[in-house]
Amino acid sequence: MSSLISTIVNVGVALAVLVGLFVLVNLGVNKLSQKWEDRLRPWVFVGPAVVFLFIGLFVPAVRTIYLSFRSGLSGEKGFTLDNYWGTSSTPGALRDENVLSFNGFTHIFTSRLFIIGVLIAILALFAARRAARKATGSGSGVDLSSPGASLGLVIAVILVLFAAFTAMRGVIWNNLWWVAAVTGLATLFGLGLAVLADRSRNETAAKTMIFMPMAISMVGAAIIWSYMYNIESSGQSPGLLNALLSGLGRDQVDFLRSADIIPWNNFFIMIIMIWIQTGFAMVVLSAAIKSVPSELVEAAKVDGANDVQVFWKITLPQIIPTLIVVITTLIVSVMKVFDLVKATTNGNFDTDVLANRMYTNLRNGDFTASSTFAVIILVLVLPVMWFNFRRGKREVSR
Amino acid sequence: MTVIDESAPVKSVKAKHGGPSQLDPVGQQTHRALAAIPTWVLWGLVVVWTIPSVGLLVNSFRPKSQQLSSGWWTAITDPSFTLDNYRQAMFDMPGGYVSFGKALLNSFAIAIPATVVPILIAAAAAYAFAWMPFKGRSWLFIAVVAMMAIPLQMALVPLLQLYSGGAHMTLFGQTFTIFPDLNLNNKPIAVWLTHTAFGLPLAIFLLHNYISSLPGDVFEAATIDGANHFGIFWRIVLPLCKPALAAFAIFQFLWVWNDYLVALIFLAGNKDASPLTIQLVNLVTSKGSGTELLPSAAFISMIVPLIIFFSMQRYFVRGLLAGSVKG
Repeated sequence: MSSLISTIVNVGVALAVLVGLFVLVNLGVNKLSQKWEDRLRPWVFVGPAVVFLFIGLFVPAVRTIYLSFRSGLSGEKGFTLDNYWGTSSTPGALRDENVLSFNGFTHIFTSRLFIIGVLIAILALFAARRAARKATGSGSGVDLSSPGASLGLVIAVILVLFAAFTAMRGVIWNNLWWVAAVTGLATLFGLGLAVLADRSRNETAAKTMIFMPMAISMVGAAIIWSYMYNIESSGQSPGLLNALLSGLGRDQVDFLRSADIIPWNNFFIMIIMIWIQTGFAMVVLSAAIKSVPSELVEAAKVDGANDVQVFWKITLPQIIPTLIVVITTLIVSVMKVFDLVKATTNGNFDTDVLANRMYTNLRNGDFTASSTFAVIILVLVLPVMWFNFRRGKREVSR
Repeated sequence: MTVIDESAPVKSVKAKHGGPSQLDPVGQQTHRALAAIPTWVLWGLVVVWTIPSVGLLVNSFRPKSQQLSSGWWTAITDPSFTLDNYRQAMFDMPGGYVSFGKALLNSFAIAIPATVVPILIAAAAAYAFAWMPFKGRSWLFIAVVAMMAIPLQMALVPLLQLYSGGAHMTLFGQTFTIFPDLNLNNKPIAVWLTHTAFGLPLAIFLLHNYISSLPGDVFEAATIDGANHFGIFWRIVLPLCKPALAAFAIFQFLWVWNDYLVALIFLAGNKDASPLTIQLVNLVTSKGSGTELLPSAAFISMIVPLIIFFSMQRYFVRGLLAGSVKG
């Protein structure tokens, strides 16, 4: 109880001091002449925010970049590029086989995923050609926007990316795999669910249940899923999936730790993230679908379009800007994935990601290596941010 | 930035489910059955989506012996429930763990100030950016908003150094202290300060959007009545932008409540002040005594977000969606 009271007192005092200071300074400014009041008042209002951002975000970010180019554990030993490149005996981040390796490159082309992906892509191209022939009546051109073609191509791209990221191993490939898998699948599922919800009864209740994982912590989500993935052992009952496997007469699988399952254990952690983020994609896309003007849909139906055509030719083009928002948002947040990996495998069993490397190095006191990984995350996120910024500017100017 | 308009009228339900009237009765029946398929598929998926969470909830009420020997679904045929897990997790953790009752308080002690402080600071700044003319206003605003793009990993190492060692600079053989060593690490205030800095760009951006759309004549009238900017901000602007404040407050509170990384870096060394997420991972990784308390402990950590989620869904959605671009 005493800790509760002291907590409340501490919090209360801190807030009172903050508000009191702001009020006092403002009352002081009230006493000044009009000219000085007009000059000073804006800075009284903006000042606290600027100070916080400068000390707490801007200077640290610049210093992180600086530290990533310094040698010594805390950057005391002078300029270097070794954190990024290094020597063959003490490799930097980008030369480290565990971070970025091209060794499995040739295996991509022999993997089943790649072959299936290519086959689907070829089928999609056939579908695109047929769609174009149907539309124009003549035999030339391809129509990639037809349902079969575009869906097939998206799936083919996801499969080929999976082939690449399971063949080439390393922390950076892992991160990119996370981004491709979670962004791609959460967006696809979210779009599917949004369309489904639009035609269902009680859709609000259903959407609420699917959206719920967004409210809880990733640590909580990891614990929830441990009761799906657990393998039976002494003092541990099987998770639901392993119980199902046993029920089917199969051997149980340690989904997150088994050596046989590497690198697919990564994907089983990604599933948790997909479980969380699908709700986000669904809610945003559902709102976008509802805001498509109903006159457009009605007009298309009067012209004899069926549901599939209405979705593909009317709804989808209208919600493309929202789709882009969902995709870029997911890319940026998944690139920084940390909690889930830390709480499930702690980065062991070939599941490490950049943010965890950044953390482990920080914990080990290697501040320059830690900063290097932070900068790598920044560099990977920046193109998406730049794209967002450009798009935002275009929309504003419109 | 996506704005969800929840008041948007739902398209006529009749048109969706009524079916074309020119069909014969059998045709109408078939059509109605077909129209119900999406509902069935959707609710099937809802069940799939909810099963993992239900498993945790059920397990949290099962006694230790059952939890360790059988899966949660056996509770259907062999129901046996107890509140003892919750009692132990809240007040009486075995094996030297801090109780989750204490961790719950710690989470509040971190999340409340880390929500209120950035809101106050951001509201003042947003008002100034929207309604006070001053030199360099627009470029400063752009700079502030651009900081949303910085991943929080970019600030952690220097902040750690700053909190335990301060900042010093050596010029011409003289060492100056720019920022004193306040020895803040492993104290909750380090986490507040960090979250405040990280939360500000988004808060300023959201509140600026809202405050700049307030009608200017209200301010003019108040100015004629003799009010200055401070009075206008305090008496008019803050009460008027309650919806935006609520949306950001919920987003920021949940973000801090669910945060693991920042707390792990600045507070994990201090068990007595660590929030729920840290204590949970400690319990997960130990794999020793107390694993039977994991479901109830996890559920304790989710109760507050779930209450907020179900009671304030409208604000929650608005805040979450607007904040989804956060770094």
